[in-house]
Amino acid sequence: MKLEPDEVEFLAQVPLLLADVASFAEDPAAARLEVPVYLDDPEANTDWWRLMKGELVSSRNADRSAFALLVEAAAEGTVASRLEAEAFLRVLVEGRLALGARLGVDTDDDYEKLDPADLGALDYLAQMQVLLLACLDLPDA
Amino acid sequence: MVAPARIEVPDEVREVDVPWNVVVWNDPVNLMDYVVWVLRKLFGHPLEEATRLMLLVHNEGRAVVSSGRRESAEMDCYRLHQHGLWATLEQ
Repeated sequence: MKLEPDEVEFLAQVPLLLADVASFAEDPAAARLEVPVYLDDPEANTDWWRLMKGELVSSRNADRSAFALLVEAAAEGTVASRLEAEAFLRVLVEGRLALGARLGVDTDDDYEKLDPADLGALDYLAQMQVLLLACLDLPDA
Repeated sequence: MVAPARIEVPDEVREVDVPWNVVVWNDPVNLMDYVVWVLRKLFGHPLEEATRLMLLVHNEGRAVVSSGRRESAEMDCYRLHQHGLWATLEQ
């Protein structure tokens, strides 16, 4: 895995974006990353998030650390393990979800309203996902 | 002949016997190929079944991707959230 300097610079911002989630009230990115699990039972939903949130946050933080190390190493060129590549992929997904939420992407039509630079950022993250998915192909069951 | 009296099923029996469904919802950000990959990775679905479920999510807005006891369904839900998919639970 080798990244160009502008790619390193761009991708290094993804963990920073994610660390910033919920830094202001009613952050749509926070809402997207903490969606309700029980739609008709607020009490059960609160219980689920109370039990699972800590583990989910730890898992996401571990992914972001692996992502940051990999981005740094990829400036010179590196080989990622499958686990590292999967962590990298999940952070790309999380970053796109957070960015998309903050940009107001709620439907497919919303992409047409985006500023070209914002659309370019979402598209670049998507392209990275596609490349990684091609490397992480699974054996058929 | 006398019709049998209606049997009342206590809530606790219903809770145990009726499976919980894990539902994945459509969103405009996650890539279709990624959803297929997650469903294959987490549930071991063949490519065709994972693709069928992803298309259900995309076209119908949602799909039941697993069913079972509540604890198992809650863990499936956790793993889907860990991978950025919006999953909910219903009985």
